[in-house]
Amino acid sequence: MAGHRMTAPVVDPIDAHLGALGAALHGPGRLRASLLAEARDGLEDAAESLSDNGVPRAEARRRAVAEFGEVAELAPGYQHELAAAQGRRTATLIAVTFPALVLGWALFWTGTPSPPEQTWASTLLFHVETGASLVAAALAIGTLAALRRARPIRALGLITLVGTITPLVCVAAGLGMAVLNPAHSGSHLPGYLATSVVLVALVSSLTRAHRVLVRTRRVG
Amino acid sequence: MRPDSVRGHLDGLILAVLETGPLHGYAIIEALQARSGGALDLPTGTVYPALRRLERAGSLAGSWSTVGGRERRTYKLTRAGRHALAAQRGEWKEFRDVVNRVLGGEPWPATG
Repeated sequence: MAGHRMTAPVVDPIDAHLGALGAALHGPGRLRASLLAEARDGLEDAAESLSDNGVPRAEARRRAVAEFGEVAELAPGYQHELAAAQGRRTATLIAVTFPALVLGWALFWTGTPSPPEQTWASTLLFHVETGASLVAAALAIGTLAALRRARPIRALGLITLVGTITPLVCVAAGLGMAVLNPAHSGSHLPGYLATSVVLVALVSSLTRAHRVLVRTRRVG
Repeated sequence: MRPDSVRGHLDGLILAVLETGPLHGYAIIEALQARSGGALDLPTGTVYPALRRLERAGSLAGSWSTVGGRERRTYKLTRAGRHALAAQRGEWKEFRDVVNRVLGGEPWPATG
């Protein structure tokens, strides 16, 4: 084809570098976008500063990228920030929802005209459920403080574990109570529905937390 | 200067640069390079996550604003950051004095 010039696609070095860095980072989308936007700003500033000192534009952009550092040496620092943000989200959810569930169920019981007959077994299960919920909330609040430290991997690991074990304990205790008081289970439907909604939110947050934890451990 | 020996002091250096007033990321890097006479040779990209880490620790407060027609994230030292800076400065002076007493001086005259 006459007049059609073959040109290799020109990839801007700054775009390419940010693309590679972005691909290496996993975590809450808003923070990830904010980190990458700030990195772009910094790279554009660096290239501009080199251009102002007489370096040709293309060379200035290449040098800005070279001075910025390799993705492999940058990714851990960035990924730790994302891990901390994910930890904060999951820990906040746990710190709020478990006490809310305990309170919600307590109000539900006081509002029930004929509370279920208490056997020692159902009382024990009730205390296990309440205790586990409150311990989880306390650990979540502790995690929020620990997430201010430089390396958030352990705090994220802890809150992911707490968030996985506690609902299992609570669901098992709840099922146990339902089995012990089968006659009353039908009237608990609104409570079960509300609890299910909370559990779905929790599972979704924990799935994300687990994924971020795995990726963060991988970059070191 | 070897990047490894700088990395351990990066937090303190960043806090010191922000002592005189708020700056955005690239201005912080320029100030670090200017104040070290160009001897601070670390990948500039490591400074940005360090700023976020210091913000998470409560030493800095960062916010987006439009500077020179561009969206930039500016950082300023918090009260806790000033305390952290004072503490790091104290530790550094102590360390410097100790090493200087042992490593920096002339050999001690032989006694006896």
